[in-house]
Amino acid sequence: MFPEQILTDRLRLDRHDVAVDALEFYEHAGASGSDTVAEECEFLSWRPHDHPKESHDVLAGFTEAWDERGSATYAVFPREGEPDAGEFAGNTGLHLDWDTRVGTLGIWLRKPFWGRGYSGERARALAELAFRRLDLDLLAVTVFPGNEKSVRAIEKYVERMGGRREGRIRNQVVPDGEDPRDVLRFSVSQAEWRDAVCEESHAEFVEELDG
Amino acid sequence: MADLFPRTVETERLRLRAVSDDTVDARALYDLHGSVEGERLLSHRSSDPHRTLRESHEWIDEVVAAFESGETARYAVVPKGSEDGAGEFAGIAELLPQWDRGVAYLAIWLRERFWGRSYSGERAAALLQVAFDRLDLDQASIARHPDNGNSKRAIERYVERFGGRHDGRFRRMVAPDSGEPYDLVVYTIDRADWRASDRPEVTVRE
Repeated sequence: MFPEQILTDRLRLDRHDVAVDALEFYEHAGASGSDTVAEECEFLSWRPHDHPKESHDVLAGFTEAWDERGSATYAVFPREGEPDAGEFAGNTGLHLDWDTRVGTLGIWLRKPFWGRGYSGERARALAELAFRRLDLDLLAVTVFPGNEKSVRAIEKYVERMGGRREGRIRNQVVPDGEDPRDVLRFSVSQAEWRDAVCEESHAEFVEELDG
Repeated sequence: MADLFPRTVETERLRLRAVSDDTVDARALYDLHGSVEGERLLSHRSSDPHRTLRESHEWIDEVVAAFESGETARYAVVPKGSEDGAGEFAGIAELLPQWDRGVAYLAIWLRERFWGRSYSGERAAALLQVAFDRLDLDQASIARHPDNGNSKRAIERYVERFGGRHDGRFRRMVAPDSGEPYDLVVYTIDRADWRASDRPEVTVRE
């Protein structure tokens, strides 16, 4: 149902659990392996991994969710011609609620890849997955209000796709051992997206990854 | 020992009594669900109307269990004193805590003959006091179906009175038992704003 690879102008999204093994994932997501992962996670829903087994278990969760058609998680790599081509730049996913037919976006980008417009580029690609392939009705994204860089990126791509800022959901997220936090929710309906992007395509789907 | 939720809450004109076989007549509830009025009242909701008497009995059993376990408090709304229809069953009011988030969801439906009396606001004042003073929750959240115009007026009046706000319209948040997913219009009231507002007197009884 999900393509294992999605290509955009500048990015390659590969099915995460197939493309990246636990030890490589841990080099990026582990608290001890990276200087910047804590900063990158400040506004995300997960914390840096404590040990490689945690990275292993997270990947196993990606596999399970993929097989259950509950979410599609991809590793992000810049393509040839981009600085740091082929490096692991983070991950992104589309989480599906089939009862409401809503897909929710998520992303984690390593700091060296910030400011390049990658978030918007992969959002447009995952919108094609959500609407053209999966025929969902709504693409949604939530973000912590203090995450100003992401809020700006989201405002930009949501507007470009014809969507809107819905409002603030209060006390929505309760991180481990912390006080509840608000989130801002944005969304784009399939009809809005079709009006805004027409037949223009932003992504190429490849069904299976090589070996 | 007091229960987490009070058994009875009294306002100037209303008595809220925890749902049980003593306070809600299953047969009357079943009849209401199957009536034209019930169809109007229970539209804009996520669960289907009761189609058998057994469903109404099971609903009461489940509500009693959820009350005892501290998950949800549901009350029969009963006008009292010299109110027109005093002592009759006027509807159901609900307080659903989200304990981890510090949020109380409030909801109500009232039979049509009791509309236009501001009972919804009076019940909200009472259950806000329970949520904030007794249960130590931080926020109350009220959500309505976008097409529910009667609720809109009632909610906006008391939300404003108690210092709350409109948070937004969130799309496709609910997948009902039958029919299309729908949006929610959401309001919240903070405890601190409620404390600073003009609040009526409410009596809580065990």
